[in-house]
Amino acid sequence: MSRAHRIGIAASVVGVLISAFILGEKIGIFPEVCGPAWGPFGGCKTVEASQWSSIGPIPIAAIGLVGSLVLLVAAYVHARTKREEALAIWLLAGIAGSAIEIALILIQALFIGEWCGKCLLYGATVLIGAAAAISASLSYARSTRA
Amino acid sequence: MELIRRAVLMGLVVGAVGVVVLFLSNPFDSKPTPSMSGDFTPVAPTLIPADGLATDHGLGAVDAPVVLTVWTDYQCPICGAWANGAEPSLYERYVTEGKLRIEHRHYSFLGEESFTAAVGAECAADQDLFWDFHSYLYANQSGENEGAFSAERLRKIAGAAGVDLTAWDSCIADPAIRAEVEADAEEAKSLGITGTPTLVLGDWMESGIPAPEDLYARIDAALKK
Repeated sequence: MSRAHRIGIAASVVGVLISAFILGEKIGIFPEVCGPAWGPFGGCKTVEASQWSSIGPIPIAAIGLVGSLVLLVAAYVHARTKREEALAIWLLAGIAGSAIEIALILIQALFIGEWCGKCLLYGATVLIGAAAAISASLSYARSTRA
Repeated sequence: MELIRRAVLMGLVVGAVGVVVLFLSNPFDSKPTPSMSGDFTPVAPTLIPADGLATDHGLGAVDAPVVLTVWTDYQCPICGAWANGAEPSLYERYVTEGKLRIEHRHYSFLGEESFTAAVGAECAADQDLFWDFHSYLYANQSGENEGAFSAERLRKIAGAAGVDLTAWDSCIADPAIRAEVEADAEEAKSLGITGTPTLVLGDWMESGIPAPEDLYARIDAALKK
């Protein structure tokens, strides 16, 4: 298993855990974590209560959980089988997820005016997962050219 | 390699569609938000109680058969959602029928402006205008500890709520009022309350905003007792 795969899988596992926790908070399974002790990144309540925390009835955290699971499974399957389809799904999910994550980070900065530390950590896992997918794709491209 | 190229393109397209859907489903809030500039004019609350229904720190008949106690922080956005959304629903459904009284308690913990807002509310309570001031506070939330409840803005909110400002000014300077608010927070902690809003109805206590049907079912069950 390459370093890109290990990093991608590890980032996605963390992403699944964080998004599941945020979703659990949202539906009241877990107590809220985050607040003044998180300093400038303690605006989780504001961010999670904002109109941007869901698309219609679907919490963003639920979409994130599904996205991270797709990243995780695709990275794992490609690491084990080297199937091109798995790499394509990993790359597709990574690029799409990164675009949405960058938009969500900008929304915190420009529209909400508060930072949610947990949400930023989750965003970092998606961006790292996407970077790992791109790295794996470049290695694959080099190997097919050789 | 063709599949990988297509995946990159599809990823960009899906990402762009996701961002567009995110923005389309969340059009910029049309609700009037309070200005943070010097010419601040308080936004009026949604719920204006009928005469006689807002007494002391509660909303509803004093002898209502069911009492729902709500612990909140004036800067907590979920408390704002409670006060501006759930509370008006309960008001229409139960309070106006004389079935429910909502009692407010302070659990100020999000910062200094939470305390100053609660002190202002206590001083409004001295003039029997607690609920008016309380509702105005929630209608004028804006961020946490960023000046939404600065002394100047609180005074404007008090004025909009109909408070006599001369008496209010001397009241908010009284350290005993601040001590009352801090004692409320200590009591909340001693009850095991860790977040806001926390609702208490008989033996039931829950943090957050429950689904309306769950809350209605609890109130209906309490009414049958």
